[in-house]
Amino acid sequence: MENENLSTGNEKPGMRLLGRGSLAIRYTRFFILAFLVVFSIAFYYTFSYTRAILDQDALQRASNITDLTISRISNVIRPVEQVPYTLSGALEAENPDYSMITDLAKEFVLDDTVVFGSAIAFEPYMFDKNRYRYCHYVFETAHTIVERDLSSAEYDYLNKDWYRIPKIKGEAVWSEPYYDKGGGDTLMCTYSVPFYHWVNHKRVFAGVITMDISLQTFRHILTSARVSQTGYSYLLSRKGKLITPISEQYVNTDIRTLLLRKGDVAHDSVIDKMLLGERMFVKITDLQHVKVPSWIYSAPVPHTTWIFAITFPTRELYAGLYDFFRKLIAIFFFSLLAMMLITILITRKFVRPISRLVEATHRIGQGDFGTALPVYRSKDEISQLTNAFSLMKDELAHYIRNLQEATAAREKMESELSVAHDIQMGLLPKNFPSRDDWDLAALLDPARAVGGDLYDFYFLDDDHLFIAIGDVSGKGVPASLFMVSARTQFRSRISLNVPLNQSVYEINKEICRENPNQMFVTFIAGIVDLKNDTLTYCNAGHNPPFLIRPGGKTEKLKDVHGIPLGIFEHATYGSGTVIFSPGDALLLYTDGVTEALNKADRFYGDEPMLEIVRRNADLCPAELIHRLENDLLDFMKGADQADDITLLVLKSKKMQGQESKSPDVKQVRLLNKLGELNRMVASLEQVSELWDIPPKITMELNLILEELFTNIVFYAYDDGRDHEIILTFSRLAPDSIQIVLEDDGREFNILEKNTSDTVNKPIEDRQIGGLGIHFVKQLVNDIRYERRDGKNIVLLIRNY
Amino acid sequence: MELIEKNNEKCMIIGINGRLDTINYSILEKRLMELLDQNVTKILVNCGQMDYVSSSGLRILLMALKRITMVKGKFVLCSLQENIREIFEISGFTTIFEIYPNEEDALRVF
Repeated sequence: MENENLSTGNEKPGMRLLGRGSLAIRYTRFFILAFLVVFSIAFYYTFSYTRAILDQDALQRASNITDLTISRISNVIRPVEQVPYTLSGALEAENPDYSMITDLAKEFVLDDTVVFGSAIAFEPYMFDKNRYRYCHYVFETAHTIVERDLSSAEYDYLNKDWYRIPKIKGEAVWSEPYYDKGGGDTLMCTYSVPFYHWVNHKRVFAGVITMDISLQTFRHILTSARVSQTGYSYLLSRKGKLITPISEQYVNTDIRTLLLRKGDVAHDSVIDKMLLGERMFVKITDLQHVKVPSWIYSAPVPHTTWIFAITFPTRELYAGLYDFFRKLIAIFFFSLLAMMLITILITRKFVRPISRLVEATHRIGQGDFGTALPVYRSKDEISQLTNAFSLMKDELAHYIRNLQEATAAREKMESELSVAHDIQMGLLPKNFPSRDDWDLAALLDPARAVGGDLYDFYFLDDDHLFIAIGDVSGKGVPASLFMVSARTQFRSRISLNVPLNQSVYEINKEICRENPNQMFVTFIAGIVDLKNDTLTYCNAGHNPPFLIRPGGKTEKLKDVHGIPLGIFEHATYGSGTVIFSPGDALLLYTDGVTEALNKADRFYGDEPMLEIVRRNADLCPAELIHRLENDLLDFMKGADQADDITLLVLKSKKMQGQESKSPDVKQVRLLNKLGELNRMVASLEQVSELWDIPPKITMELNLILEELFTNIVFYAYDDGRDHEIILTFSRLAPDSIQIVLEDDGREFNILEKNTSDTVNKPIEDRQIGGLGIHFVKQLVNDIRYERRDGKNIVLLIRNY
Repeated sequence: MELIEKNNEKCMIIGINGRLDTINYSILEKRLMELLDQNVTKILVNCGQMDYVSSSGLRILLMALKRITMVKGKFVLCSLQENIREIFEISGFTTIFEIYPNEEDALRVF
């Protein structure tokens, strides 16, 4: 048991070291959490900062690239714009040389890589008074110059934007990108410069000269204008149309439509500003991919109405950053893991002395004060704790030793009191022999280990029963001693030969004489004539008894025949008589019953007791007392028992016209007291007379029974309690009697006792004893012994 | 039981009147021991009125006999009733005790 306890004691702290609530785990958890928070903040700050730098850098690069690209575009466009001005000057001269101008245009178209074609278109009748339209177009295809007349009515150049807008505006204009069907048959932008003729001294619009540039031209410039791998750039017209293709399908498409298609709806105002020619650097949705955020940088191209825009996905811009942070986080988590392990190990190292201390404390807790506390050398908090524990252990051991001594002393006292209690209880008769005519039961429940109440009953002879109840003033040991002394007095003085009141007088005198402490006892003594159903009693200042009639009617026996015993030496006493009818019962009690207090300090009183009696009048005395006791205990629940509780009930079991038992069997129940010999002899004599047994045989039977009975009284019991010995006479034949003697004492086989030496040895060597058993064997015809159900049963037969 | 004592010049005569049993044998025991202590060594016990004797009673008689024999005194019984005599025979006591049919015969031996 001890070892088992120790082993569980050992395991517990060990488990605690790495258990859920262990210091190591808690400490590590806290540590890791703190680390996570601090690092997350640091990470976030670094990340944002780095991204801002990257953005700044990207802006710078985009801006540079934009500037470069714009200048390159300008370089291409400037000559294109220059030539028509020159030519328009030529066209505005008087009598212009059209063939020279056309040749110049042709030459320019051929020379310049950007210019795709050039047209000279006239107002109706301006070129030739006979021709409504005149438009001469030259364009380059596969490095040769093709000339085409676009004067046809179907082409109707007069309604083309490249013709109408400069005419209306009166200035050179870049057209929106358009597909020139029937003209250049390609996607182009046209720079149209109006020229004028003097007619009647008036400057009159005469037509436009145009330079077409193929939008293909800017492709190679724009392809090189990229910020990142997947970035790209493009040109937008003022109206938002894509001048250069992003990919083949998105030419001439409105940028707003594109953005809408890619799921961006929030940037219309940004686009508006962009188209107005503001330099912008904003984050919007990529034009090629759905919901991919990307940076866009835009700037107007000087001289033209175009907007240059360069764009690149933020993802790509941050790719390096993301990659770096992924690696950083991985490294961080590995470090964290390592840190966690290290923390656990270190904490365990620090906690181990505490665990050992816990183990030792466990053992001390189980009472093993010999346990040595672990030695801990460092001078830190743990060593202070160990010292404190050591001090506590010593103090505790000292305290427990004192406690044990005090407890032992108290136990000794209590055990002595408990012995005293047993002795006092042992003095009280317990079992009333089971009879057909009378029954009696009694209860004494002392308030302390020993008490001053008493009751008593015993047979004065076969037909007379003495009963008594008393209450000594005071409680505890003095009262109990006084009670024992009083009991001894009446046990020795009550006799059938002296009137009861005379005996009580004598007893009082004796008690007064031996009463230095002036104690007294209230007392009722009575002698019941069992045959004639009368009670002679003397009430010396005790609570009045009650007579209980069958059916529950109760009568108070109010007479008091004298003052309590022990007060006045010359006090005289009277006596009274009660006649029992069949079924009547007598209830004796002490004031411990009627004056029992409950928690509310109220007395139990007569009435509840009588109520129980009335309701249970037909029960046997033992059961009635049991009910009374239960009711009383219920009443007192939670309160201390203040006084001894004593109850005695005697009841006549006789019925009207009761018949006696079978004449051939007679049974007597005896107590294991020598005094019962008288009753035994009386019963034997009764049987002898009844069955005509000769006096000599009767004397021999007497001898036999006396031997057997005294043997039982002296040797069968050693518990000091009352026991019942059952004696049964049976008439087997007119000249044969069987006697059975039963007792529940220690096993003793009378037949095994060797008796031969008792008779045959010389007088000096004879053992005194064993003689009686020798008689028994000699004087019977048959004797048998049996041990059955814990009882010694001796059966003997005597013929006569 | 009652003890009736007569002081003869030869010896002390004790008459046992009634039953000598387990309850009252101690009265006889006490008296006999008193006499022995007073150096009374010649005792005649008259059992004429003794109706009954238990083995405890016999034990007392036996003890008295032993002690008086030791001091060379004399302890004699007389006038045993028939029933009692039979008990003595069964127990073999007739061979141990000197028993006389009446007081006169018994007194002669002192």
